[in-house]
Amino acid sequence: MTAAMVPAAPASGRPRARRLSRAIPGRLLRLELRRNIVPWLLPLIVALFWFDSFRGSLGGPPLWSVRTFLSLGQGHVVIDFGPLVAGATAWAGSRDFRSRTTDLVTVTPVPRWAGRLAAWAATICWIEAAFGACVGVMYWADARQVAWGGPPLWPVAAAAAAVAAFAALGFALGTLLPSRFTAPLAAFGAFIALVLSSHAGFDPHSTSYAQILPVNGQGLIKFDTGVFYPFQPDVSIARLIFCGGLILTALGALGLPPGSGGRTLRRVAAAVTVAGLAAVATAVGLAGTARLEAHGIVIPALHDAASDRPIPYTPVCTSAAIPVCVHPAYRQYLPAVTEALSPVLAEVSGLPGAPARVTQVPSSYLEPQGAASITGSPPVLRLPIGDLGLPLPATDDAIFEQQVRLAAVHAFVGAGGGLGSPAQQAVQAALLTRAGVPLSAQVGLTIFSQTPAAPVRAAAERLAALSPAARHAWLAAHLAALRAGHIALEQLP
Amino acid sequence: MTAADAHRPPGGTGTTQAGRASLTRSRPGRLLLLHVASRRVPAALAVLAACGVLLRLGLQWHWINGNGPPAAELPVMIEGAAAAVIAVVTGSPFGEPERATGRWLPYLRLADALGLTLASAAVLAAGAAAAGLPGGTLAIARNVAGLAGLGLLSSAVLGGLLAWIGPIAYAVVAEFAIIEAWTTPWMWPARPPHDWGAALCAGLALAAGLLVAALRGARDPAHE
Repeated sequence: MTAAMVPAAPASGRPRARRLSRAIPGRLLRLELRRNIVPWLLPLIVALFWFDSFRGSLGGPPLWSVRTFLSLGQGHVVIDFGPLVAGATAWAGSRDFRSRTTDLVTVTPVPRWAGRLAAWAATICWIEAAFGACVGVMYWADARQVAWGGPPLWPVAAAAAAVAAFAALGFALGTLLPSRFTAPLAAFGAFIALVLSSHAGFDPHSTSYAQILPVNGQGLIKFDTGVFYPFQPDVSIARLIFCGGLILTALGALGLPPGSGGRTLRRVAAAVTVAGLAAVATAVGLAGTARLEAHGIVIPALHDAASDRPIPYTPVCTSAAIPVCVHPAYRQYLPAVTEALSPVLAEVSGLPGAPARVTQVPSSYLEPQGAASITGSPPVLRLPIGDLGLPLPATDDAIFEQQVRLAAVHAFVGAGGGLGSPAQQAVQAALLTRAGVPLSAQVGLTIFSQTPAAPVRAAAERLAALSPAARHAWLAAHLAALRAGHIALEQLP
Repeated sequence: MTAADAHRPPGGTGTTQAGRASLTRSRPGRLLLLHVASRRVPAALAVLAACGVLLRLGLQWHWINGNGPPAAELPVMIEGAAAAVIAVVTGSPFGEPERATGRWLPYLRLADALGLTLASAAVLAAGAAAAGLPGGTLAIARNVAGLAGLGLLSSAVLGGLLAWIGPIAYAVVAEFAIIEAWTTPWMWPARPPHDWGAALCAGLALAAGLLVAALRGARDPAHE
């Protein structure tokens, strides 16, 4: 349609002009939706998502925390989408430059800022639709196997915002610095930033500010997250604010150059940019106040006390003399745990402090991984099963069995959260040997079983070689002193 | 300046014998320069130099800790970026009409692609010199060659300006291959530098890319 074909305005032209001006954004959006590069890239993005996040999601034990650990906890879904999205939007943003129509479109009735926003909006519609479909299919596939709890939704929102932020930054780069190199550099820049930030997440010395990065998985999701306690949304909310701020900043910057619109419009763009920068600074500041607590990362200003309340459940127990109880989410691991514990329970049966019951407790972010304890009267062995290497399928995994035995024996000798005294290490090694874990297999099972020093190893071999009655008698007489750390290695029989 | 102005024969209206000889002698060099300028090769060289500096900074400041497989991630990403730059340079600003301009075009395209591949390998090797890069210069040369080949093939399918899609898709998969220690030679960044199979696959990719780039060039987009 040319200008000549536009029907002449009637006498009351103002209402018609208003109707037209209202219709233009919708038309522009439809036009941009039709002529967008993203649909052509979708097969590739979906293939990457399937290859990385989807396959990784289906491979783990049937817990929401495990299924989403790779894709959302470590942000692989953002790595699958982010680089291609940044490149595609940079390509879309530099369209006027490529077509040499920059001057032409500047004189159209629609302000350039509005035109650019329409192009970005169309691109983000495609991207977020694809993102939602991919994550939806992944959750649907997981939901068929996970029997307890619901999927975490806040990390999905944060990841979607991160993808939108890459889209906004790529689009702004393509619009403001157009060249044939902008799209590849935006794509690879996003890729490098994402991979480097994921490594920042695994650095034990990283500050809490690093939690704001969308692929930083440290402390966000642990195996028992969402099982005993709800998913903590604090970090995800801070990331939403951060990414929202980046989006506003990038989109506001599109309206700042001369020719983007009238003076009022450019002032609005400047205000949007400033608001975006303020949101980014606020989010980074909030991340700086984050602290690791027993059930995840907490940001005091965003924290809802409701997410600290445990989720009620009825444990699933065996009916043996020493019952073993697990959370219903771990029901399929009950036979394996019971079988793993039976030689240990038989070995310590009748000794002071021997557990009369075994119960699963939530793994804590603050305690060493796999640290069990025996407390109460009658004594209860509290076992953080989620911290041990959960096998798939749930049975027939020697390493899992050995880890369960090690956790139980380590708690029994009273070694606490460390390696324990040399005498405790020797008794632990001897009891594990008797429970079917040879000395050579004990090294490196968990952090509580390192390569023993020669005297410790020799003492363990001596104790294990004793007759069951002699070992039982010595343990019965010395267990209290051993747990208190008052027994020297030389005092072992 | 127009083509007519480029080499106006001296001293008169007609083309003399000496003028024609001079034109023939100077044409290849001038043609190459014009071709290089039309493809933004100087800007590409600047970007490649920036990639070398980035690699140097990343290795020197240990952006990725450790010496295991993750240490190879950053170099592969930067090698992918260099390959993407080589690939987008193939896009012609003139489109289809350029194909009818003479028999030199395949040689010019080959010179572009080969020269930039060699330059990027040299720049990245210089950036990584004495910085403890896993795999060393050999790995850089192999990875850049293979990725550049993929980029050139991608430009033949998608067009020069979208040719970066091939290298980035491959680089994303290669990151997983590195972490999961894949053994297929087609994922050459995940293989040790002296792996003959990986070198062969990367070489094949480069040879195919150069052949396609020289004979066919980047696809000219009819429209967006």
